[in-house]
Amino acid sequence: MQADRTDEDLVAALAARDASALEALYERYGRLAFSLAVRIVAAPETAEEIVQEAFLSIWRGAATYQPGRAAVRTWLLSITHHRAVDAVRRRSARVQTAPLEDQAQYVGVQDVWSDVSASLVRDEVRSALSRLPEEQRQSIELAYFGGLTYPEIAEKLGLPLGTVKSRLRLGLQKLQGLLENPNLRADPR
Amino acid sequence: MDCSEVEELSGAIALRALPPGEALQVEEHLASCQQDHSSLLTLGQVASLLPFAVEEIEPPARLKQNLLAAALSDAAAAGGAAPRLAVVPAADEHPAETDAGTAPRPMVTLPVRGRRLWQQPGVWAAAAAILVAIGLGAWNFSLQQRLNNRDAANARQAQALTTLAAAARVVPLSGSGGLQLAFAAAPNGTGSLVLSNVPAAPAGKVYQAWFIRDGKPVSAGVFNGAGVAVVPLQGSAAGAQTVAVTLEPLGGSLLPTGQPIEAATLGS
Repeated sequence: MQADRTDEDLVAALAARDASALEALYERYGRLAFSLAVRIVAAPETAEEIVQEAFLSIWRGAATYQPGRAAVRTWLLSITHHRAVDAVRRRSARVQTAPLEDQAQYVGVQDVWSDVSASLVRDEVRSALSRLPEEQRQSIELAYFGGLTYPEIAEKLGLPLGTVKSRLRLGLQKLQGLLENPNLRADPR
Repeated sequence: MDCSEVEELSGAIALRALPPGEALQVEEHLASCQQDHSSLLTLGQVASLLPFAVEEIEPPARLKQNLLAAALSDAAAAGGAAPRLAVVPAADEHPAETDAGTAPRPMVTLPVRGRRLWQQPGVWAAAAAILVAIGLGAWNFSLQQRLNNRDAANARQAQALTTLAAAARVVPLSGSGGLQLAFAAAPNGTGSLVLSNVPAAPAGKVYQAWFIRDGKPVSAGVFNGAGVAVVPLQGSAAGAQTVAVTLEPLGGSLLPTGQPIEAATLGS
């Protein structure tokens, strides 16, 4: 029966303190969230804590969720990403970024997945990412999965700041183009 | 910071790769800028797809168990409305869902979707809101939570009265548990437990409700009594001769692990 409920239905149930909805949401996205957290923090135990806290944030904040502003999945993964990056930055004893509250994570970020199969998206994103110029892919991965700021990436790679800024911007633009171009998507690697 | 500098940083913004000082400058710029910065939203949407690039790995079963236990504990501590929870099967009884199973929605092509979203007029303002909210989110969220908690406390009393008033039948439970419980049967065959000053379940335990049909118990959900007025039960009471409550390990059990501490006969 839970499979018939949309993510938005589940969050509405969370707001009514229905923990079975939390379980259903976890069944849908727990694996993806955990995988993302492990990729970033490279420590399964820390990833468990991060994912648990991310889901609890949804549990606690469900009453304030506004369906028109962002998808539940976007919200959840955004929280997971942010907490994981924060963990990496704390561990590295670097200056943390300004605190991004969980509630801010989804403001204005509309769902780009709502009508797309997760498996289709997964294949397309991996394919598109693999087709980026190596230097752009590397910079994007260091930022998103490595939790590095762009000056840290510049220092790590021995590049000027402007070069890294350009790589991040152009890389995402290129990624957008690859995801939009069905011919490129269909090409085998 | 001006518009061109913000645009130059758009990739770093979307990937949250800004140092703190620059994040603040961007936020300040967007809060007052009237120019089109829709590229921030566009790149943010692209970045939001990156989790799918990760090779998926199975989380340990304890993660779900810990999460559900923490949620129950959290709800009890906050004094919120009744948490409800389905039985949590053991890990080997609950294989990981397939990709298809996690995304039952119809497929459409990305280009259609992408152009539709990215060509919406005025979306740059939403991008600005992302960053403006960075500074305001904490305060607003905290305030909202407090208001929600207060509203929930007031709502609990009304909820109990409403449930009782709407019930087709009310049956008190009795037993060794010393709990004040009543089963309120709704006309549509569902039902709720109405609680009066029921203490929190002992540490490491939850209350679990059961409908018993022909001697076979079916879980109707778990709850932690503290601060709870009404527990809407899962499933239908139709055909059940008994409603019962047991104490179970956190997360609940597939079948009762002990004798009911409270029960009531519903008739057949």
